[in-house]
This record gives sequence, structure tokens and C-alpha cells, in this order.
Amino acid sequence: MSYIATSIRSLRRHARLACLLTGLVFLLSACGGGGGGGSNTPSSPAATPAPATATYTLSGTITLPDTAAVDGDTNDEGQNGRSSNNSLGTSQSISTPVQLVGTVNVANSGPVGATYAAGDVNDYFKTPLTQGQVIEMSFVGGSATNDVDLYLIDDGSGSLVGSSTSSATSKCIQVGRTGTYYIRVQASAGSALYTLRIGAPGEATCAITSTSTEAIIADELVAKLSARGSVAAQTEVMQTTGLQTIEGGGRERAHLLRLSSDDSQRAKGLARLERWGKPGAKARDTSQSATQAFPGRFRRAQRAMETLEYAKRLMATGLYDYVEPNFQVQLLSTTSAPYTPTEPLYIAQRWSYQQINQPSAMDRILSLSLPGSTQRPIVAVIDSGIIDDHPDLQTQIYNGRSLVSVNMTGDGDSSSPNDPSTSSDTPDWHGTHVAGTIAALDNNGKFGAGVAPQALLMPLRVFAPGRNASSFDIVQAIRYAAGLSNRSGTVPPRKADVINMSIGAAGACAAQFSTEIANARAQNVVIVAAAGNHERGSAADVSSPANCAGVIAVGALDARQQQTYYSNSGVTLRVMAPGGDAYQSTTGTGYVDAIYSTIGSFNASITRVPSFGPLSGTSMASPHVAGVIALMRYVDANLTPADIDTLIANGQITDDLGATGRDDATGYGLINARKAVDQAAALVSGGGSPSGIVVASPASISFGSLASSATLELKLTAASSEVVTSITSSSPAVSVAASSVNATTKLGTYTVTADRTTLPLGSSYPYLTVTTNQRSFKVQLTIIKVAPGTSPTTNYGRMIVAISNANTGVRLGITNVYAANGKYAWSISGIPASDIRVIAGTNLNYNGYFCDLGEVCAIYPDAAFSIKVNADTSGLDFAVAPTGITASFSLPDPDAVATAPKTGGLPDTP
Amino acid sequence: MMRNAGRLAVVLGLALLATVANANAFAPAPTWPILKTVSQVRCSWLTREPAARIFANESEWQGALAGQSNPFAAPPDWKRQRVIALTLGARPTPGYSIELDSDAFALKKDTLSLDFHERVPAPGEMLQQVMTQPCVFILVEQGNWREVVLRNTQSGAELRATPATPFVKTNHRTSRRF
Repeated sequence: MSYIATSIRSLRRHARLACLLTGLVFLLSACGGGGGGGSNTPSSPAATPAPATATYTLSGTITLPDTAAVDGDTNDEGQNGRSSNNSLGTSQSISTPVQLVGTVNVANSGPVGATYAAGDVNDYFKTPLTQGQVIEMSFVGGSATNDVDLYLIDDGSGSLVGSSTSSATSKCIQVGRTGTYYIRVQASAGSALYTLRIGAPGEATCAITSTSTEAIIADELVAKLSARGSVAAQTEVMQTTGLQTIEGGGRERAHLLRLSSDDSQRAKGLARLERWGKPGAKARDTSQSATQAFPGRFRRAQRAMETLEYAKRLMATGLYDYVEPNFQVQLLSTTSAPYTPTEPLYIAQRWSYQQINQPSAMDRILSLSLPGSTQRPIVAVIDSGIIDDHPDLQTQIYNGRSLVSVNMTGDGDSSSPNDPSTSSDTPDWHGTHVAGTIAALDNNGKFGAGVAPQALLMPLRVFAPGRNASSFDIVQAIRYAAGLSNRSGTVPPRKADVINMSIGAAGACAAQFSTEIANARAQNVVIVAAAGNHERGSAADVSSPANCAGVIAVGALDARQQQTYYSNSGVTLRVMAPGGDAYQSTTGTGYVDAIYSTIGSFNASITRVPSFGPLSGTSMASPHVAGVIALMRYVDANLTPADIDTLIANGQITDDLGATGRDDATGYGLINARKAVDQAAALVSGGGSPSGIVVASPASISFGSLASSATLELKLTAASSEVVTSITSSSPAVSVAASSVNATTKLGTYTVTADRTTLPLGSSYPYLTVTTNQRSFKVQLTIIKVAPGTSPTTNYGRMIVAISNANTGVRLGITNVYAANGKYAWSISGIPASDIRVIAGTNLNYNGYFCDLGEVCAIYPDAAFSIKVNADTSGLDFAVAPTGITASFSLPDPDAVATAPKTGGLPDTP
Repeated sequence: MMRNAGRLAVVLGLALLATVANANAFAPAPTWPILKTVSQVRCSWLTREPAARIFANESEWQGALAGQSNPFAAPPDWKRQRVIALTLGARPTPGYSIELDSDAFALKKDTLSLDFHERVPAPGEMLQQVMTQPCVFILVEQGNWREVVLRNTQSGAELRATPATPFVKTNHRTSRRF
């Protein structure tokens, strides 16, 4: 035993020696490599000089969009012509439309660059804005703790007229009145790269209009202490931040709080709140905080912004259920109380139902006084089954069943749609949740309510617990719902009106789906499906079966009415609906911004009990739309799938989002239940089907500063008697001429010409008015005029241009270039004969990597192709644009992989 | 003679290296056992990005559970146990999960290390389009370790965690202060 122990000790000593020896061997090997040679390197014969390798010079021009602009004081130490824009007095003038990139950071946050130590908390921009323009700001930070807020201050009144201070990474404010404004981008926490985009009026939409914050009562907050927050901790917050309680106490009801009237006290209070719960955190420089000196007429704006900042920082302490400004509320006359279910947890659902205007739709249905004999529409839910004894659902169920194959369950083919999950399956009750959103019973005093409580639910189970669904089973469920023969050997007494499929798989629409979806539509069944959740990081196409012809593909919005970070995009995306984001809590209710609906849970005896809970995803968006269509069918049982398609394409049952008209990110926009019910009611009284309408393509035209003509097409969305009677321009600077137009309908293509002679310098927003025999609508135009002889000033800051070997990723050359006359001219010498790619991008946050998410970037020719170099080559011209905060790309660059930048950039090492 | 001596030295050196290499095999790397693991598809501890965290007391643990019941059969004994949480952050469907590559942590100095990989759905799998956040809670004994390193063997990314609350009670004030 002793011998063995001694041997092991000896071996361990040897092991340590081996490590030393091995390390030395590696060290020597490294020292000797590459001909560098140290003193220990054995001498070698004199090397024969290698024949000189021919190298070449490559050059080109990088062009920018007309709207390009850069923040005057980014964190990039290499930025030329830096100019502070940290206050109203030093605000940076910009013109719109604009797509500006910039950085902000609180002191000592983010990468060590030009603004790291002192901080760059605020960027102010001054610009004329036109009613209907939307200020969109998106940011990307180095960690989840970064946050940036957006404010809009009216130069005329000195008032804060808009703010967007949620924790979301995309924010917006819609301009309510034409005038001159200051836009303030403020780092609330950490550091961030941001993109500020302002398009033409009507080009984008935003739920926050720029008059909303005029109603804020400055210096006052309404706050409710949470169950988690101790009274002692709250008292400590109050005492150390200069807040006073004006009214209220305890946890039971809200407190009315007032900020200190002393500027320095408020500044210190905010700084203390910023460090709350962060022992050791450095005090920030309050000279750039919200309490910096504002000129006298902007004091109201200053106080309102401080009030909002206090609210946000108090909320972040975790001591409160909600903290909100005290608003002035106007008395509005109403004729009747709006639809509000009595359900105790409806408060958690309210945001999503209000977003789709469902309460108003219910009011309209009540006003229609439909007879009691009105047939209840049926919505088939092809999913994981249902909790059939849930009090919100059990009276709503109609002839559901399981269509799960024996080989998928492994335990037989139960015909029951009841979700058989046990506690060991850790179920999420997906089908039950989806069903509850569609048609949970309202006004029964339990849990929540559905979008269409008038509807019946046909739960069709295709998932066995813990398993995926098979396409065959899904097809059988579609056929069952449509009243067609299927593997169950039965059909329901009444077929479904709507099928909801909150399921999906990547890939093209399978033939079995497209066939059966067409068969179901032929039976007058409307089919709705989830667009898919794979958008994050790169644009993902709509998943299958949502991408099948004849299916209404539904994407997801968050509580701020923004496309969620996960919602898929694509040409087959039709409409948007609330899908929620469990990582946000912006509604002021204390609940996360997810979709709340019926689920189950297990009690201490591991018995299933009915419950209510949050989920998020396009799975949750789809049933909102299915519910709305059920409401339409309740009003007009004869509506066909084609009718619904036409109404969507006409924009008659949606609120447009994003770019005007249909776009791949938000389809035709947000489903609007009230519009949908109104349209259904109109069709019932009119006794017909909806017809197509005349639309313009593109829906708006930007001439920028150079273009003088553009093509416009006027066309029908579906068969219709609508014809164009005239097209007129709001400005003599714009003329329209027919290019290829039907003599009778005047549908076809037109040439729109802009003459800048009479236009003022800057941006003009004239429009065309298209008048038809039924209505008229506008086509927004944007024309930019610069002073004669003025060089373009478009700029994205320092641009890094690199050339890499396309096969190996090895960098062959790199240089910095700066914008002149709105372009970047670049040239790199010493490039050997090889296949190459050119990569250009900015490093505004100076983190060592260019082409980060949110920065400007381009690859030439692209990530899949390369250029063969064997001579000096010029004319390698390409364009760059900001990458945005949701779409990223990565390149096989070994340098970048080695150090793994957080946001996917490339090493910035000229 | 000198040349032969040199060759002999090289041979002996190589033999020595081989011997000590084998000797290393005799000395198993110290490990730290995992007492229990619980996986969740929708983690009660909400964080959109991949993250790791050590829970060292009931207060922190209840915060992570966010009102959900304790996933372990018995509550952790905080006097001698810790819970290490690992999450992948947000994922688009229920088809994702964490699989630990070992049933024990490697212990080196004061650091526990463990490899894991992510199970991802096969292309074309038909799944519910509901967002998830896979995570795993790992129950371990408290010890002198001060850091946990969890390595994703697919991406190479490492998640590090140190306890938010010191393990050993000291005179330092740990309550929230400005």
C-alpha cells in the first residue's frame, strides 16, 4: 500500500515535470516558427529569396442612400469632424427623410472609445417635421441592461410632445402637427448603437402620437407598491431620492408621489435610482442627465422628461407593481359603456384585445341586435387538444376529437380531444391556450375571455404529449373539420367555419397540405395559421402550412404594436395580431406582455386543475385572427374565404403597419376586429360579396435628391367595377402622364415627373390624389432639393474597407476611408492574385469590430460570390446601408471567430 | 560517443514524457457531483439571452421561480446546497432542450466546469409556434468553489456564473445601498 502511494506521488511529480517539458517544447516550436528565430534557434542555411509575388491595387466607390446621416459624436475615435450634440443648444440639424446611425452611452459604459469616460448620454437633433411622419428608433446594446429612450420636443411651444421610454429595443413617435422639433435620443442605461429613421408622412405607423405626453402632470407619479417590495425599502427610496408621498399608503392602493422642486435634488435622485441595487456602481455624471440646464421655455419639457425618467427608474427597483406619470384626463361623452368582460384576469388580456379593437367589435355586434337563433360559428383548433373541463371552455366545445395516429402515441388511438398530458409531461397546454384566445366564455366570472365568445370550439388533437405532430394526422384533421371523409370514419354534424393551426415547420408548403387546404376552402372553410417564430437574427420565411396558398398567415406584434423579435416575414405573410413578448412588461398592469389565456396546472395531489397563464408566439397571434373571422361569420354566415381574402387585400379589415401597403414584415397590417365586423355587417345589408379596389404600386414614391421620374401602377386587388377617374398632383412641381393605361378604366402604368425648380430647399412632401368612381386616396411623394453647387453631405462616419481571401478568409488588406461628396472612394494595394471579397463597414461603437449588428455594412460582390484578382482593378463600386438590429450576417473570417464579438462584427484593425 | 549520448538522452526524454503522460491517466480529475437536475421548456427564470446563475438562498430562488412551484421534489437545503441554473434564452418552439454532457462537474481550483449541448429540432419537424426558454436547474452541494463555467460544446461559448450572494457570511453589508 505504501509502495503504491509512493509510486503515485512519484508519478504525480513526473506529471508536473512532463507538463513543464511539454510546455517548453511548444514554446520552442512557437519561437522557431516563421523564420523569426530567437537566440536558441539552430542556425540554418541562408534562405534563398523567394521570387517576388506580383500584387495589385484594387479600388472603387462606396455609395450611400440619399438619407444617410451620422451622429456627430459617436464613440468611434476615428470619426472625422466630431461635433457635440449633447444639448438643445448644440443640437445637430438634420433633414428628413433620414436614416441616421449613432451611439450613446452613460459614462464608463460600453467599449472604450471617444465617449466612454465622459459619457454621451444625449444626442439631440433638430429638424422640421410634417404631420404624419414617424420617428423610428431602434438600438442594439452590448447586454440586456442597455436601454435607450426617445423624446420629441416641440420647438414652438417648448413642450414635450412625445416620448417612448419602454424597455423595448424599437421605439417610435408619430408627429401630430407640422413644425420644427428637437428629437432627443437618451442612453437610459449602458451603451448602444442606434438607428434613427424618419420617412415621409404616412410611410410608417406608430401607436404613440406626439400629443400624448402633453397631458403629463409634471413632477407627479402614481405608484403602487408590489407585494415583493418592502415598505422599508420604499421609504429608503423616497428619502434618498427626494420624492414625497402626497397621498396614499401601504400596499393596498396607489401612492401619489411628487418629485423634488429642486433641480440638483432631482439630478441626485435620478443618479441614486440608477445605482439602486448595484452596490459599488459608479455615480454617473449628472451634467448630461435629464436635469441638465434647459433654456427657460423648455422647462416644461425638462420636467416632463424627468418625471418619465423617475417613473422608469423607480419601476426598475422592483419595489412597485407600476409607476406611471399622473395624466390629465379629458372628459369624453359616451352613449354607453364599452364592452368589458367581468373576468377577474381580463386585465392581463386587455392590451391584446384593445390592440385588435375587439371591445369595439363586440359593441358593434351588440348594436346589431342579432336574433338569438343566430348560428354560432365553429372554429376548429388543430393542436394538442383541450382541457375539456375548464370552466371557460367546457360549454364551448363542439364535436372535437383526436386524430393522433397509433404510431405517434404509442398507447392507442384515443378519440378524445381532451389533452391527456400528465405532470411528468410538463405540458404547456398549447391547444387549450389557443382555444381560450379564440372563444373562452365571457362574463362567467372566471379567468379571462376569448376574442369571440359567440364561437364554438372544435378541438382536433394531433399532438400526443411530448411528441410532434405528423403531417398525415394534420391533413386528417383538416378534412374532419371541413366535413370531408377522414381516417376517423366520421364527420362532424356541422363543419367548421374557421380552422386555426398554431403549428408549423420550416420549408415549402407540402403537396398534401396544399391539396387539403384547397379542399377545405372549397367547403367554405377559412384557414388561419401561425407564420412561425424563427425570425431572430435573420429574416425567416413564413413556415408551413402558413405559407400554403389559401391560408391567412399571421405574424406577431408586441404590446407596443411593433413586430416581435421572433415573428417570421415573407411574401406569404398576410396579417399581424398580438403574439406578445414575455420579456417585456409595458402595459402598466404588472403582468408581462405575453398573451394570457386558459391553461391547466397540477395541484399538490398532482391532479389537473383549470388555470390561466401566459404564452407568446405567432401561435398566440393566429387565434386572435381566427376569433375575428369567427365574429365576421357570426354576423354574416355567407362570407366566403375569397371574401375574406379580398377584404384583407383591400386593407379593409386591417390597420396598415410598416411601409405603406403590404410589406413582408407586417403583411397587410394589424387585424382590426371592429373594421372586420363592420365590413361583415355591410356585406349582409348589401347582400353581396366584397369587390376589389384600386391600389397604387408603389404606395409611395421617394425621388430623393437626384431622381426626377418614377413609374406608378394603378391596379385592382380583385375583380371590381371601380375605375380611375382622375389623378391630380398637390404641387405644380409634379406631373403625371399615362404610359400604358386602359382607356376605359384608366388602370395601368403612369410616369410621375418631379421638377425641383419651384420647390424650396430641403424636403418636400407633395402627393398625388387618385380619384375613382367610388372614392379617392393619396400617393405620398418625397422630393429633396439641395442648393445648387452643394455637394451631397450624406455620411456614415469612418468606413473600414477590408479585402479578404474568399477561400480562406485571410485578410489581405484593410484601410480607413471618409465620405466626400456623399461617397467613399477607396483603394487598397498589395493584394496578391487570389479570389477576394471586399467588406466595408463602420465601427461607431469602437468595440474593435466593424459590421456589428446595427452598424453600416456591405460585402462585395456578396457572401456567396467572389472576384478573381490578377491585375490592378478599379470600379469595384457598391452601396452600404445600416444592417438594422434584427438582421445580422456573419462571414467566415477566422479573426472574428477567434475573439467572438458579441454582435457578430469583424475585427477593426487597420 | 557524444552523439550516441545525445540520442540516448532523446530516447530517455521521450520515454519519460510517455511515462508521465500515462501517470496523468492514473490521477482522475476531481469532480463535483450533481445531486439532481430539473429541465424546463419554459423557464420560470426569464432571460432572453443564454445565461447561467447560481442561487444561494430562498429569496433568490423564489425570485427565479416567479410564483411557480419548486421543481425539485424537496426544497433545496440552502445551508449546504446551491442551485445552478443554465438557460439557452428564447427559442422559437418547444423542440429545443439542454443536454448535459456529464453527470458531474469538473472541479479545478475553485471553479466548477461542465459541458452541455443543445438539442435542436430536425428540419421539417412540425411544432407548435410558441416561444420557449429551455433551462436546467442543477442541485449541487455547497463547497469552496466560487465560479461555475458551463460550455456549449457546439458553439464553444462559455457561460460563467458567480454567486450573487456570498456563500460565507461576512461583516460586509449586502443589502441594497446607493
